[in-house]
Amino acid sequence: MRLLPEPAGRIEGGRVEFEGQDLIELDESEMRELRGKEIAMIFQDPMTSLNPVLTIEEQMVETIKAHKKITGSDARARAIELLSMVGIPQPEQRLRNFPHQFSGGMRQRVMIAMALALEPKLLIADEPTTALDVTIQAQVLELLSRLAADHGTAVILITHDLGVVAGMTRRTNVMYAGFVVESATTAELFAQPSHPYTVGLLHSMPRLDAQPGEPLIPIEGTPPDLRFAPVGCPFAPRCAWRVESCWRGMPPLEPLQPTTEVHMTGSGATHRCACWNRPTAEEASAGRPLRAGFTAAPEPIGAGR
Amino acid sequence: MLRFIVRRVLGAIPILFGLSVILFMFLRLLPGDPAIAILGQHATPQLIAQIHETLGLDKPLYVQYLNYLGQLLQGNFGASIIDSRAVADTFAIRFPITVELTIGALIFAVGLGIPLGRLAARHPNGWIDGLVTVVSLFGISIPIFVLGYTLAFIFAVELHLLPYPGPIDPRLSVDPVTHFPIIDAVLSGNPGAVVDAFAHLILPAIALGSIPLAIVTRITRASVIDVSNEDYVRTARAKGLTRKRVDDRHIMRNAWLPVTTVIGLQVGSLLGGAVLTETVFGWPGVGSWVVTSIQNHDYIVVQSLILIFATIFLTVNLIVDIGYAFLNPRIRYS
Repeated sequence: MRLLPEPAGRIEGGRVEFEGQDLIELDESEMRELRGKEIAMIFQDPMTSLNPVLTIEEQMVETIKAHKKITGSDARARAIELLSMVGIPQPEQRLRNFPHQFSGGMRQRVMIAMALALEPKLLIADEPTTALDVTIQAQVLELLSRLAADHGTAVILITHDLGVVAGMTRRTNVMYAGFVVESATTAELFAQPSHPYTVGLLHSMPRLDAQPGEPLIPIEGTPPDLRFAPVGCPFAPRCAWRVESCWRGMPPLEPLQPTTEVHMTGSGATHRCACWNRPTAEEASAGRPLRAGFTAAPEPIGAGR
Repeated sequence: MLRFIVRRVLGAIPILFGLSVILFMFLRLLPGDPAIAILGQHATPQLIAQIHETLGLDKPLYVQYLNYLGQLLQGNFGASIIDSRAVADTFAIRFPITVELTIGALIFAVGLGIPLGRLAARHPNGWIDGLVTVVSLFGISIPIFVLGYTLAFIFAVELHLLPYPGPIDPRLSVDPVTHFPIIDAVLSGNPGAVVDAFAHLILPAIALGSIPLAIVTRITRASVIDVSNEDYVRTARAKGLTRKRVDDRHIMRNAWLPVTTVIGLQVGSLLGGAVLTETVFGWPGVGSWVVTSIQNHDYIVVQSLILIFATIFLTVNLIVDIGYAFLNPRIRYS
């Protein structure tokens, strides 16, 4: 979305393609036209994401008017329609309210209504339910997936909640320290987690079907400080499966099965993983290395870390 | 909202009462006898005693205070012991001049300070920001009498661009109707007088406005930078609004809040604190009146004026609080 202020936030390299167009190459006014209209975004904290001194009406109408030649009363009618669509009762009255007169869940509904106002092709939801109660989470997620399906909007859901991933998504990229470390259809990812980080995430989450007394296996350590980019695999310091090469180079994202054709998207997306020493299926379900005599490779001295 | 206003007005009463006591005591403790100020250094003891009796200065302090308070509650601020004119009358003549000067200074400070603050906030720590910081530090640091005389010397004495001193050229003999120099000039129907009155206002408004300008600039800059980092500004940009709309509506509507408070405080202190500027530029407003009254030991004028300034200050603050409630819906509805 190119929303981060420069120079602190900048894109170091690569491409960001949207409908065949590299977003990095667009100038600011072209990018502005895409924002909200083609690509919309919902943020983590609904309590701070709406402007406190403007009414909901002002904030919704201005969104519509920013991209459409439309009269004020038509835009207002559209805003009422959107609010009732996201399940806000008495939308005509609520339009005149200020954000502080809404609860967190209701504000996130307003955010969703606003994001879908122009029927964007892509909706980026950045931890949309992190700040909400569990019961409200379920409502908001259900609403989000239903509306996205109705409008034909693709959703990128950013979350650390694997339950949400399992319930909401079709394809998953697991990211660690800015790298995609595993990519697969969601069903395949949960059936056959292949990266130590994915395995770690699954084992650090309480499950209803766990054996009584079965301990959670936390991931030791803390994520790296990205201002000092590590050499090698960024997960190596916390990884139980690390081998000596993990300290030296970032492994490429490669298909699990050797194949000639890699599908990046869709239901047949190829299961890919970036790891020098992948856990086996048994190890993945145990949550730790099972090989006899295996110990994690120690950090080499003078490796430049 | 009405309850809020009533509560605030009632809250001001004890403050004013306490202030009147402190003022009364304080001015009596100052060295110098008003009788000597009136009669001169070679007055006879009999004459001095006579003056003391006329002014009530021979009575005990608490009696003097109660007399004063009684008069005050009837709306009588007393009369000057120098020229015997009622304080309220002279105030009505002089206050408009101070108000005009204050408005001029505010237009200069706010009109320049807010754009400067926004400009500096646009690229924090860039060279524009640095320049604005230096200018505003300069504005705060330089004493008004230095800035005032320097401006007068350069623009009036050397370059002859602007008139000095006073609020209007006395040779135009404009009739004082409202006592606002510019309004009186307009009422006189003489276009030359209007231009002259405006020209007279420029230099003192700059001198008086230099400190508020610096403060408004700094607060605007800080406030805009602060608001720019808010989540809802990111939301506004994510919605595809133009930069201008994000700046004007989403950032400024919120950034105004602290700026308004500061402007209000400045109005309060400008109305009472134009002492130096009025003296430097020869404006016969209330500021220069305070100075001459102190020199003359005219304690009645001084204590009344300070009380009036305090009332004005409290009133302005109240108005700011109410204005704040209008700008900020979270206060309005609580």
